[in-house]
Amino acid sequence: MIIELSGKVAIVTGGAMGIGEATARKLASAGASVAILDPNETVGAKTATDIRQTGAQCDFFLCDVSHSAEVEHTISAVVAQHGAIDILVSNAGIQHYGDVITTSEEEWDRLMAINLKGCFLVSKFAVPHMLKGGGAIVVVGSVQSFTAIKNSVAYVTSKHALLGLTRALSLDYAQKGIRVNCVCPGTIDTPMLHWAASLAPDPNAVIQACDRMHALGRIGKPEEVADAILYLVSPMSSFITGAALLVDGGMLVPAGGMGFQEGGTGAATHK
Amino acid sequence: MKLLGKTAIVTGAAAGIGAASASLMASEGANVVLVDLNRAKLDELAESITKAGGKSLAIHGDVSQRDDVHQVTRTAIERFGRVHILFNNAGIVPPGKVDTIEEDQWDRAMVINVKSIYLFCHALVPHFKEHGGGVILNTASATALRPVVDRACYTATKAAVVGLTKSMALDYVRDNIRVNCLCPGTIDTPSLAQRIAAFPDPVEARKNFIARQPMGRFGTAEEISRAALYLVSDDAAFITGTAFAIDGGFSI
Repeated sequence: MIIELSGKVAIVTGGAMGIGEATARKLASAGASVAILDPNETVGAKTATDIRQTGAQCDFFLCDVSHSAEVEHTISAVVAQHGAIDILVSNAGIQHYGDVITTSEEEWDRLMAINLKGCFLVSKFAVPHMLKGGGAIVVVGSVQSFTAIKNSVAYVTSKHALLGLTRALSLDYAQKGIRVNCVCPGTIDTPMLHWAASLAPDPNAVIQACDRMHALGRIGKPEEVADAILYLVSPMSSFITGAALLVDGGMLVPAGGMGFQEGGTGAATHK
Repeated sequence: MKLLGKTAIVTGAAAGIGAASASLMASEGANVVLVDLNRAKLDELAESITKAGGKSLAIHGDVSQRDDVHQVTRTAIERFGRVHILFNNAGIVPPGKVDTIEEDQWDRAMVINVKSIYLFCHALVPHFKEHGGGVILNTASATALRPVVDRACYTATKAAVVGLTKSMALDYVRDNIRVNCLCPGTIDTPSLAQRIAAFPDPVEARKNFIARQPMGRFGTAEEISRAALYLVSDDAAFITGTAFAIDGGFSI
């Protein structure tokens, strides 16, 4: 499919690397002017420079989405530079491993501030601009917007909340020209995944175990999630709002997980 | 009596779903620890539980404050020796869309509706593990399953409660700790009455609220309390990680 976004202004939070970076690249190559918001100045600025070198428009804005004043200031700066906001990809997020006992209050607060409140804040300050000409928001959720994994209490809570926020946003602005959807990736080959794997004694074994958790037998690529995001911000999805699109290689399909097979594989009838 | 010898902490106990649930749990034999900011209503409820032959302990406390939460759990354990049931029910209903909700409103709702559950569980799960198990019930909302307009922050908090519920259910599934949440629809409580009274035309607002109810009526706090009793009792011993819709068909 060919998606044409010339003349559109897109914000991607957490755009320095991973899914955000892939999304920024695809938005830019579809013709959009892209603003990357990220707290990592070195990597974010380099990503923006790389994208500009392809002839596309892309700028880096140093921004911690959990800080209201920074978000407000950055959104104003994007509008001052480009005159509008048409597309918002709320992607910034961090992972934390721990259960409700081992997760400290400070860790809980920080994750909720970045993953959830960050989405609230960028929406809060971007939506008034998007109401002028309409637009599309994509929130990056997770398979953990639907299910849970062990030892990830804050992350799972934040990703469930993001799907709730997506649905609420979609309803509040459905008749005002803004569509809001959520992409819910499975395990994706990103720096965050490699960090998580590095916590284990054998990182390669973790990645291989992740491969096996997906019906397709492999983890996803950031570009595959970016393709779904591009579809959801483009006019091709003009009748889709409030939706959650799983981009999970079939991870959530099998009951009991991929390791579970009741009744063998041949034909049999219970008599 | 389904909860004889059990001790239950109920937050947001002063009115509505919390009060009805606390009363019902007490009548089923539980020692009930009542937590709320409204001291007068709390004392009134404790008195009515005593009159009915039940046992309760009213603790004035703010569920969003870590020190208050620790005070509640410590006092409950000192008084009754053991806590078996934690019903995280305290919550508020902030109105608005993201462009109209102020940051401090967002923060306050997140702390009261979501972080309070983290704080209580952080404090109490080690006690449950140490004593062979426990039951946690959280109050989410039907909006976590199907949002309504003008409740962006509320919907996000309640979806978060569902996530937190599932996550803890999984983390402690082998520790004999069950974790579930209720997803009530529109319930005829003082909280609802306040929200209706805030409309320019409360009579019209009440009619509109009722008009969107599939059964043509609100739920009652007593109906929710019976679901709460079921989920915290041993009748629900095989139920964990569920978001139980009790909404008269609202989320269909």
